[in-house]
Amino acid sequence: MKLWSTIACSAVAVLGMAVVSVAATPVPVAGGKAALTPDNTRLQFVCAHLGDKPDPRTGTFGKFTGTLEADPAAKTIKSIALDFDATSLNTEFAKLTTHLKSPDFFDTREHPKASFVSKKITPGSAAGEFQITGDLTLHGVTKSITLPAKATFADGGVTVTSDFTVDRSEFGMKYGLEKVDKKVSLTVVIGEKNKVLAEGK
Amino acid sequence: MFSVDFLLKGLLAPAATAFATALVAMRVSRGSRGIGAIAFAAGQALGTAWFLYGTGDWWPTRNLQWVPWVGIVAAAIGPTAIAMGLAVVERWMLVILAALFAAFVLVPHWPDLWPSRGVSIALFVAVTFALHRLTDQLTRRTSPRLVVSSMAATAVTAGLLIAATFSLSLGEAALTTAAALAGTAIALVIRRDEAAVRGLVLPYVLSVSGWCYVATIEPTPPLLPLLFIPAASLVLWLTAVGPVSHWSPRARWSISLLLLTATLFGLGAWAWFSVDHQADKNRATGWRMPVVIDVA
Repeated sequence: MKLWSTIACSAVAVLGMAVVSVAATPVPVAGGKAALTPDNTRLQFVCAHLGDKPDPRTGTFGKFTGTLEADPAAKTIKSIALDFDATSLNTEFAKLTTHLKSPDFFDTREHPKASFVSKKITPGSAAGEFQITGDLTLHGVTKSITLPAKATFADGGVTVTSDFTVDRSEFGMKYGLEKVDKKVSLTVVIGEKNKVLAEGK
Repeated sequence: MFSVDFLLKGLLAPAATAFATALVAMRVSRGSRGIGAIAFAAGQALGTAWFLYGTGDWWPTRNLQWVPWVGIVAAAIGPTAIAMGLAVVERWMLVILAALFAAFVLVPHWPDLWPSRGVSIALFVAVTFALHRLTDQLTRRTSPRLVVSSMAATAVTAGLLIAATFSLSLGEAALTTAAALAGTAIALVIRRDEAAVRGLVLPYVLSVSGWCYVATIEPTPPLLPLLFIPAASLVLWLTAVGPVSHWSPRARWSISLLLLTATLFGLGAWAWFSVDHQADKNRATGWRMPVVIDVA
């Protein structure tokens, strides 16, 4: 496990320096709605350890469905809803995946479903920026969160990117708060294929 | 890995409580078959209280939270299940009833459970009944000190493996059970008491089987090697019967401890590498290093 941690850290560092970027492809909006699937939407979370060696770990959800309501003409987002299968959580390490699914974290046997449903979307300070407020349900706990998003409309479609953090302890995931950061970074990119880091389930 | 708080309150306190309870009980009533079970229950109750204190979750809400209570219920039934005043069938019925209770609360209602809940309950009862019978018989075929030591070693191994391969918090809870068993075992090694060891067999079997069962079925895919851990003590049968049984006690002890250690190490390695093996399989079927974006 030590070896894999070292390899992973090196890879993260190299990739971080290289700043790999993948161009998002607009997701078609038909009748004001766009269907969100792992083929056109990326869901990713990163959590790090506390202390001198953060060793950030990346995870994704391999199975989810969702709907984005938007008006390409007015260049506005109306709503967004995502239902994801928590059991499809995956990371690059089998042991880490098993641990994250265990009662220490997501407890996917007890809480196999997670979701996000927007309640209010307001324009941000710049064109294409929005503040999305909605209910995030994780680990059987529902909390209202507000996240920033940037939308781009082109070719009758839309791309959306959002980076935000959630406090896992507010969702009842209180394992190892002295060792693993309670702040979890989440990235949602609508218009980019999801990445499966390992065999999910 | 484990916090100092856990080592003190989750391990040392239950072990010391069980140890002291057993020694005091033996002074009051030596040769009582309930001594081991009472000592174990006291240690287990204290460890569970520490885990649950402040959570507000005293009543179990899911299968794995029932394991400590299964152990305490089994400790109440265990000594009666070996009472000479009962017919063999009555004693067996008590063991089956305790195993049925354990199975009903530990086997979950998941729709994708395999085998189905009904079959799993039947299998759990059948296996734990057989384990109880074989371990109880073992206490009369070989040294009860050896048997109780093997029970404690098996429980400790189970807890460590659960913590290492699946969930640290679940492993800690299982280690609390192991600590209560170990504290009792040390007292029963210091002051030999066959009846007390026999009374401890049922809580041992149901507790350790319970922890191993829930830790086996929780992950996907299941961690099957953990299912075999509770049977590790039965390796002592190899020295309890056959040619080795005629050797000197010291030689039998040495061989028994070697066999037990090898069995537990073997099962531990199997469990550990079965998780690693999944990673290897993933690599062969499309595993790749992630393209990490936006990671500072």
